[in-house]
Amino acid sequence: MRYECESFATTDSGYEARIRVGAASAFFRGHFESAPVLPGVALLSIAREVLARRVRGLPTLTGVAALRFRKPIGPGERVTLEFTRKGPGQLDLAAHVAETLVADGRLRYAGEVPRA
Amino acid sequence: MLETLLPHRGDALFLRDIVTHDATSLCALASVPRSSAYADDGAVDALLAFEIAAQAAAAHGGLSGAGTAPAAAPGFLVGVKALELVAATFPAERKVPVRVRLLGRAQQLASWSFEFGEPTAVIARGEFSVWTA
Repeated sequence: MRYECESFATTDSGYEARIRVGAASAFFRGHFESAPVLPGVALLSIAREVLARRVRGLPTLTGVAALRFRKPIGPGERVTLEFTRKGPGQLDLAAHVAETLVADGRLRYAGEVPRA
Repeated sequence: MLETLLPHRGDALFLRDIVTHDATSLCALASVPRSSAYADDGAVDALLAFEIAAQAAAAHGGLSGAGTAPAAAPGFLVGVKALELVAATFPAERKVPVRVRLLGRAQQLASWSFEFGEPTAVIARGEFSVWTA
């Protein structure tokens, strides 16, 4: 299993998911052997997939306006993903481990992100 | 040779060949195994383009000796911007060119632009920043 989605909920402004990427996840293999770190692209890929599987009518992700990876995420850490609608085709993503912001930025979709 | 330039191993190492490089740019060929966590039924998530580009930038650092750390020290992708996904996926196992160009460097932080795909069939393009330990 690449990751677990432990919860998913709608919020006033978007969606919130809680995920966990275990030490055995393929995302950690070879990245890096001495000190495993979740690749930033893995976090983004998970965020997109979690949303796409749970939000009916979600448009295609067309890009990223900007995304900062602020802190590394290690094996087994639980990550909260907060998605906030920001105008047509834009969705802000903030990822936290406990209270620490580990990544944040703005995603671009081909159309309006549906409300729940 | 690439294992001496990059700390990535196994399915996490996507670069296959360095094609050309100079002081501020590098072109390489990359491929993604079908067994990759980013591949599904032979199709690879195009988001992976910026990770592949970051590996190309790290290889450039190793080749040019620009890094302050020993070769193959981990570099951390700290940001991506203006990422445009022209395609949703690309085929696993196929060698795809990646071109990176240095935009600027300040101590251990470097900014790069990249284009992934054939010049006539770009899969993704954008910019990213890497911090080298």
